[in-house]
Amino acid sequence: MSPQDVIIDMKGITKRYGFGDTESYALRDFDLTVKRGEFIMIMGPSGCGKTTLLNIIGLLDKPSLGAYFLNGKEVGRMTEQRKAKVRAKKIGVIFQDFNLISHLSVLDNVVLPMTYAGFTKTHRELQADKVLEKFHLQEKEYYMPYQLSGGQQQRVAIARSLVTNPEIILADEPTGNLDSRSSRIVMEELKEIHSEGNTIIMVTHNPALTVYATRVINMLDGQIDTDIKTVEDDDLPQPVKIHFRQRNVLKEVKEALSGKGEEKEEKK
Amino acid sequence: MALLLRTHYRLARESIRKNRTRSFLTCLGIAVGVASIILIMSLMGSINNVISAQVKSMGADLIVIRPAQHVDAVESVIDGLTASNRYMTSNLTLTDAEVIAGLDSVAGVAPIAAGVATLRAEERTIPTANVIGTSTELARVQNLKLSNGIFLSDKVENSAVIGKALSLELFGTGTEAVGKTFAMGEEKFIVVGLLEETEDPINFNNVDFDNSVFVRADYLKRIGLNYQVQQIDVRAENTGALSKLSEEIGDLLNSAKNGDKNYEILYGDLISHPAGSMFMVVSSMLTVVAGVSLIVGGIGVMNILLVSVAERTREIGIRKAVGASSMNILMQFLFEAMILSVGGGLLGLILGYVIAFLISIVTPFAPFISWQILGVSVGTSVVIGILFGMYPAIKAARKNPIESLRYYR
Repeated sequence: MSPQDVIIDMKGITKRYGFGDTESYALRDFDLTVKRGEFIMIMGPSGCGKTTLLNIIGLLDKPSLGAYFLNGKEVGRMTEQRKAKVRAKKIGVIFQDFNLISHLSVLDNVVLPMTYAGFTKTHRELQADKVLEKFHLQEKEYYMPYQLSGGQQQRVAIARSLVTNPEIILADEPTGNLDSRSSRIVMEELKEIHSEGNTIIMVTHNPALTVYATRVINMLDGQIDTDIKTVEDDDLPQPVKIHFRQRNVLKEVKEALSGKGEEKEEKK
Repeated sequence: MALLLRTHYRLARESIRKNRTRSFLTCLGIAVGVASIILIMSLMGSINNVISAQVKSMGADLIVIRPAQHVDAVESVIDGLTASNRYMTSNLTLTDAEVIAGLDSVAGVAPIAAGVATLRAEERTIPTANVIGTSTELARVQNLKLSNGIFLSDKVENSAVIGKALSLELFGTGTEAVGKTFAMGEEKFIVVGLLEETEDPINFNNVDFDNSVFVRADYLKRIGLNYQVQQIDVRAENTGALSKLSEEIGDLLNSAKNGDKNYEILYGDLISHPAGSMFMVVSSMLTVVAGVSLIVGGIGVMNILLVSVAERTREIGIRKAVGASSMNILMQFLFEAMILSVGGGLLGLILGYVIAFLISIVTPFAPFISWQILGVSVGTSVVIGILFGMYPAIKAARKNPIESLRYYR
């Protein structure tokens, strides 16, 4: 495993709430290493720290102790401004209750992260168009969120999380508010995204969904209880992202070649 | 960055459009404040214009000597409010006028010695009439027109000139006052001239010509009237000698009053400057009141924005989660405040001028528009927007995204 394959590296992460008698731990000395292309499902009882973990990974929360390296950069040293930029460009978030902005159209909602990532308006709308097309929502572009079903809303939210081509997608019980049919559609979408090489970290209460995962982590009291990998590291989907922007093909071929070379060396 | 600014502007506009009534009422608060400032400034400007037009029409050969108070601005405002007649403090005398008249290159001198006296005619009595002791020169200096007779006479003993409104009151006629007599103190006066109705109730002499009676200055002493020399108008022989002449007058008065410099010598544009006049006091008071209403409008903006921030807590959470920085959120709400207050400012600008125009129909004021006034109104509303938008915007920017996402309304 080459170092650039590690996308998230957490060491001794502790999140403490309250002081003295009211002190409680959401996360306790938590270590986690995530590789590019993994589809991780995090399970566990309520209050075991799943959501806190997602918030810390998504740079919305700060750990009380410990070090968190995202793409090899320590997050603790980033300014708030920088973190916001990273959130806009590198991290996509999907919530249980969709969290679309109710007074913005589907298109405007999808465009939102790109606005903060600093893309031009034309670029934003072209890209949003393409992503919505992928989710078969193109004809719903100018609908308002309340005109859509729950499943459709969640797919819009997924489209929003993907629009900036992020490296990590964080999903907090994305199927929690959906019926089983919509759930399946959403999970199939996520599966497809994953097969294209995206890293997905998803919190769920539904054990049936673990079939989609390449790694299942059970949490208990802010620590890892069990950590099962169902797919070998080498079999993880190739990190070929959906590219909307014109690519520098030559540069990418070079990178791909050198990347392969390193892997072979490591195997030997 | 410019891209983001445009986005902020668009977001703010959308949010304002969504709450039309609310936003309009907030704008109205600012508009009232700005409108009153515009109104006051435009009226002040028009008063200045009227007076400077008068000064121009009289030619540029005029020097005006006024009593001055060397006190600070606040004190003079208080003085203006408490003293019934601020010229009570004048230390100019009729003797000064006589001495100045003796100077070379002085073509004429008109002192304005104002007092109040009881006038008795055959049938009517006016207990408090304005009496102005002056000289024949005043008619030239102020460009007074007479409908009948002449403006005072050295040949006719106890001659007087009367304003039209006062004539109507005293004699019951606005046309045939010449030749009539009235008593003032122990003396009898004969009217030798009747003034035409003036179109300039505002003038640099600060005299209400329609409601005054004019006699020669030396008569005032004789009838034992209490008077104050509120101004001395001096006409120079030629325009070029103005500054030299004003220096001469300065030296003269300086020695006459032993260096007690309680007067000012003005010529050219300075005459039209109504510093020290009652207008200044009134307008500064009105400006303060308008300022207060602007602050109230600003609080309205702040209030509405705080409501907006509370309503949109969840939206703020979502925006932060998908990558908005605190600065982005701050700017979004600051823009909203700015649009509200600048919109209110523009509305107030229009409102102020409409009111000024309506006033101009019934009064001699002409609405006065200048870049300064436009600048002041737009500038004030921008400042108000930033000042009162800052707190809600900071409050929005500081919201914790995790807690905001949990927020349901």
